[in-house]
Amino acid sequence: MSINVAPTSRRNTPGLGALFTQALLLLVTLVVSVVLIVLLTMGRRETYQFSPFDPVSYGAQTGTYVGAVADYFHGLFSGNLVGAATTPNKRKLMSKQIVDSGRRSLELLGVSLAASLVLGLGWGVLMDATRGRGLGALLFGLNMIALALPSFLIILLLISTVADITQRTGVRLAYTQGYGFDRHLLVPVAALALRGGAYFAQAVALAQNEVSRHEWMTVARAKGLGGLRLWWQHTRPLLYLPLLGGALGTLRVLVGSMILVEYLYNWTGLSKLLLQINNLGIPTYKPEPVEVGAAVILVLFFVITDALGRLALWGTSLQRHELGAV
Amino acid sequence: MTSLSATFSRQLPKLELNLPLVAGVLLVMGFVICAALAPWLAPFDPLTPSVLTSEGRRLPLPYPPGTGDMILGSDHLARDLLSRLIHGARFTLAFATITALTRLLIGVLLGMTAGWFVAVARVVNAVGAAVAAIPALLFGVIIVSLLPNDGSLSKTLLLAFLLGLTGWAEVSSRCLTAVRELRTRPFVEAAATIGRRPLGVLLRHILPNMRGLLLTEAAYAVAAALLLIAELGILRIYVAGSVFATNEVYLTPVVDPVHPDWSGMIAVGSPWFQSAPWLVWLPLLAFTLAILGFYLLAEGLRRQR
Repeated sequence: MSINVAPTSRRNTPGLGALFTQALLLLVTLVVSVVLIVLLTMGRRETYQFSPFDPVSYGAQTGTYVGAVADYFHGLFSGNLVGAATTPNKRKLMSKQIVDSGRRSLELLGVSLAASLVLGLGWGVLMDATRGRGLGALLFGLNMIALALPSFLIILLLISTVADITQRTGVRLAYTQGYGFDRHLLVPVAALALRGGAYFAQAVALAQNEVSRHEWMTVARAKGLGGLRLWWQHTRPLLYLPLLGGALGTLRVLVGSMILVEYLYNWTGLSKLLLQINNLGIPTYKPEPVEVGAAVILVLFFVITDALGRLALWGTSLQRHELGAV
Repeated sequence: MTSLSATFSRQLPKLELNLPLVAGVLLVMGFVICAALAPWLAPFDPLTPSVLTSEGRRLPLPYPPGTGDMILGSDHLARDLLSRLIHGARFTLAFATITALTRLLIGVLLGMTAGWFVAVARVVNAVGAAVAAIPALLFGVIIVSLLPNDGSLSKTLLLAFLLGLTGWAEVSSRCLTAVRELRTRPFVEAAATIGRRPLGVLLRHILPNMRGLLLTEAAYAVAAALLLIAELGILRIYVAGSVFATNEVYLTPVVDPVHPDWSGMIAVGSPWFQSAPWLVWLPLLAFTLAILGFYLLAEGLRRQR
């Protein structure tokens, strides 16, 4: 296909073989990552009961560890995320705990993603359009700072500011901790969306910059097309796939940042369950299946997001190839 | 004269100010100088308490910023916070650098091999994707919890290496792309044609051409390692190791990091967040500036390529 073919007349025709490879890769990734996380989180089971120098109990330890891991996978294959917990009632209770926590995490994640995408789109388009000028430099500087700021610092700053404003004025703008699909969302969403938005803005600006270098853009500009009309007719159609990749990358950034934001804000989501694993350092501590289940869900979520991101990138490279950019 | 100066200025290369690079180098150099000259720069010993009294009575701990000669105040054990921050830069930067180098080494080795051998690329991609799927923080929490650190050199090094096992997938993927691009260049094809072995081509022809990429990746890796250490500190996990310590201020044992480090300072200060917020904010600020510095450095190097 010639480089100057109108962007809207593109056709992407991915081969079935390539799709099969991607699907196989996703399956392998899922299996390897779940096995890794279960082996790691259950590692403590072999050391908390027995002396490591006692050869008789060492066999028993190994048996306990392998047995625990096997039990967990047996439960997992029966569709039970908490593995083979002691009684059906306990299993039911733990499963409900995981499902409820997962729902709360998804609520936070969904709202944060929407906020990040809206913020990032405007930020990125402006950042690229005003490149090299005062506003562009300011937006770029803010982008750098927002990307470099750890999410835990942002949430701590927000919590302190909200608490300070409430103390000084008596006006409660938002809550400083807890769960709720209401004003409780403001602080954690702001903390997550700032970083997520900055990431998405960078993706938007890079994609837009790449598109603007194509020849038809120069031709369109030479013909007198400019401003929003040029963006809408020629830039926007080519941004879909890169932005899909950017959105999935943003989701990944949000999931990574969510763990500490939930912990610091006391949002009773998956991360709260997950971080009980922190107690592994206490000699008498035995990891609960519910924590392993939370870790497995989060990891599965990461893998699937990652795979979708790879697919989007793969689509982008196909698109570039068809346009002669590779 | 005018024409000479005009000719001279035309012949000079046009220097474009790479602001992220300049800002990044300045910030990073500042921290490196602090770390290198810590014993001379720190006003107090970071491990010795300096108990202050007023009218014969001990002042309540921790001392707020500006108390006595302590510009940034003290921690709950009456030790100067500024001195602990300056000395903390040593441990924190060294630890983050070892973690980052491990990450870089694994990523470069696997990425270069996968870039040259197509069959290896499939395996590296699958394993890399699996490792990248586990959040670095979760991996760090599990590793630090399973291998309690008593502050000894061997255990601290082991921990730094193990934390480097996360995040290499991104490095390897970028190296893979770079190797694939480079191997189509004429000089690489010529080297292969005259019979050089793949290892020789990779080391002598491809690796030197990846200098810019490697420097950028190294700066990103240090920033990522610093972020991970800071997050572990927030969760009150001591990467520098912790001991139950008693001193002249607290007669009952309290948990204290073995070495002064920023992450340990956050962990120790977090119970005091309401009453003495500077105990957490100051090390957090140090972390943020260091992360920003390495991030800007990486961005500047990326633009320079």
